[in-house]
Amino acid sequence: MARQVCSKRGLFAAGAATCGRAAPTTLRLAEKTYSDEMLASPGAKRCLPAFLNRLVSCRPMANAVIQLEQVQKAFRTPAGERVPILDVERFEVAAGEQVALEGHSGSGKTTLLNVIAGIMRPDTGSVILDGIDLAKLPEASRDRVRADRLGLVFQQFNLLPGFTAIENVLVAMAFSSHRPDRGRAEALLASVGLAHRLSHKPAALSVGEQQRVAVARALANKPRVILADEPTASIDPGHQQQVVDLLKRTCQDENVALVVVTHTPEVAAQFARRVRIESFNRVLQRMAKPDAAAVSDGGEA
Amino acid sequence: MTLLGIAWRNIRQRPLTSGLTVFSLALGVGLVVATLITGAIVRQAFESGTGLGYNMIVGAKGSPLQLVLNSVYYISKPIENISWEFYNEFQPASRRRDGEDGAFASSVAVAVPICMGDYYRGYRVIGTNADLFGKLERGRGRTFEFAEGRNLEDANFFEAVLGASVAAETGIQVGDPIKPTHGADDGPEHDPFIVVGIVAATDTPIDRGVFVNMEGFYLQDGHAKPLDAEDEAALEAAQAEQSEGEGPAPLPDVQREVTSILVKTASMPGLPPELMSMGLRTVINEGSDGQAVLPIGEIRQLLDLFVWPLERLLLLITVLVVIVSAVGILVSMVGSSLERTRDVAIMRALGARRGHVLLTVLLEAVLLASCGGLSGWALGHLVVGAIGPWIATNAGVSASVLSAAPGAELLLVPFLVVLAVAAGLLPAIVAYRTDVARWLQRGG
Repeated sequence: MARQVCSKRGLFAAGAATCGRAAPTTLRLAEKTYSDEMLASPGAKRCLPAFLNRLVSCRPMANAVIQLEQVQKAFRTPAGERVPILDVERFEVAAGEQVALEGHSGSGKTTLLNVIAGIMRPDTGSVILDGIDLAKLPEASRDRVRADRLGLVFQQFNLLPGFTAIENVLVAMAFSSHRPDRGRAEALLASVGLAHRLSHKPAALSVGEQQRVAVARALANKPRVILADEPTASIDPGHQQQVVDLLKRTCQDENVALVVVTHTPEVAAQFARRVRIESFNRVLQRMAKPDAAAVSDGGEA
Repeated sequence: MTLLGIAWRNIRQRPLTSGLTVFSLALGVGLVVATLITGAIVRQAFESGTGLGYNMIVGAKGSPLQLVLNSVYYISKPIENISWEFYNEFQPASRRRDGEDGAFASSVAVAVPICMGDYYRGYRVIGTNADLFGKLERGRGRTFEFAEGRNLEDANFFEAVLGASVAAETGIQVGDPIKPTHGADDGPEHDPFIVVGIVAATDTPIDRGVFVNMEGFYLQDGHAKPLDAEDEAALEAAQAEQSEGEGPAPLPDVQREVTSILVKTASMPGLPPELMSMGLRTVINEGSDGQAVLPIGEIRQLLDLFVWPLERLLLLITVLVVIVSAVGILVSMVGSSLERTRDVAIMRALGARRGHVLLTVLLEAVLLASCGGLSGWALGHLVVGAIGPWIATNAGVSASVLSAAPGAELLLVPFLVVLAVAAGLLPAIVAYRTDVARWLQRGG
């Protein structure tokens, strides 16, 4: 399987690694060889030196389920002024990878999630979700892709209050191209420990239970990706760990890529890959001091 | 879970608002259905009078409409009575004591006497003879049939025949005795009459009548005409003649009166029946003994002047009530639109397309309209069932839970559903245009 290293500059700067166009690619560093599979593996990245991680992050992933390239998104103020929010050269997440996305308020994290989810269309660039370029699709098709291939977990859980736990999961199935499968909905709720709470409405569930329903709902249509927007922000620290563990475990079990937006360093620390949005959103880089703008890619922590 | 299931859940999510909307709809539709049914059965009742087996009614001078209401529909009070002599002018020689044809006998095919003034359990008692069911037709070419028993026999004074509704509602059977009361339901009781027959249903006022032999009727207290001195002498002479017969003696002619006469005019070769009846009416009305009315003309006038305008007014009210009901749906759904925006945004984020949320909101409107419409429909029938006795007394027709106004009633619920869809369009479009991104943007 041929892979291309996109930035040889980083490689030569390291001075100890080689790269080639022939397959398979290997990186050799201080007597240690990093194979293709190792580089692709989310777990392996923890062991890689930081500069090599930066190097890997600028390579197009063959097994990426999320690929953003040259994505720009701006809003217009009521006065007609154009305010850029996102300017991303490249952002990728591999299949089954778990990523913590960090950044301060207003840094464009939610906009980024909306663009990945197809809720917003970028002004320019491509947003490839599981091989489909959402940027080229009309809204209804993006909705269909979102229903079939994406799971969303919201900050407030956002369960439908009039629906029971199992109905909240079934509702998500109603909009996908699969037939609503009560058996799968029950199994998902059982897998998050709610087999005995199927017929309870959100108001009758504890905060932790509501979040578990939200996770089960996100998994309803066998998605390739789950996007979680600050899933621990509105819950007490005691439950935060529970939610993080649940998300990580269920995504791992189902081989689903997970992108978790979080403000909490303790939460982010539990993910193999931590990405600060400032590291790849050039809008923020331009706003920061000029020397920081020179770092255009590879800003992972 | 289907979109219909989601719509149903949305309704159940707001039990108070949805319940009140359905309740107000049900009240509106119930009112409309009750009005339509009542209108329909009253109209049907009056129209049934146009299929009479007679084409003229002769009665005392006074209001022609009152004569028709009284003689055809058995409602309203009788005007006055007409004399036995005048009645006899319509009889052929074979039915008169003097053996000569009455003055109008040649123009008349059948003349049936009607005597009123008694009641039986709220139903009018009509004194008549066997000709009513024997010689008159119930419509064009259709003779009366008996569901049970037989017609009255003129020789048996104390016999009675019941209309189909009377028999059904009272449970009285052939062979049972009935005791009419004089003047009103709570008036003094008369002698018993034995029921000998039950007329098969005709869907005319006949169904709600109790028919007794006129001879027996005459013999009850208060039915004999008071006499002056001259008549007293004639009465004694008559009683002397009749004293030899068996059984109860019939009331002497001098003491007899009839309320009205149902006349079927004779058809003469070369003369259209209308012309015959018009001519006879003119002759009678020029005299001082009574008046002749052509009931179909009166009924048509009644329908044109009263029933149909009233029905059109009711229809207008109906349409307004249904529109108000639809506005109720709109108000209810717009009222919950803020709550809905959040749910719609969640569903859109989960992958619902704009068409899905549009359809869900419209389905919600249709479900509310269907629930309200169907319960209102049932309510309307219950109301008609409840006011049935009142309608029966005032319109002379029976009305029950099962009465229906087939055309308008069947159209009502679909019409309401179409209106509900129209009313649901605004909230549906609001839902359709929900900006998920802005709603989700709160995070930053």
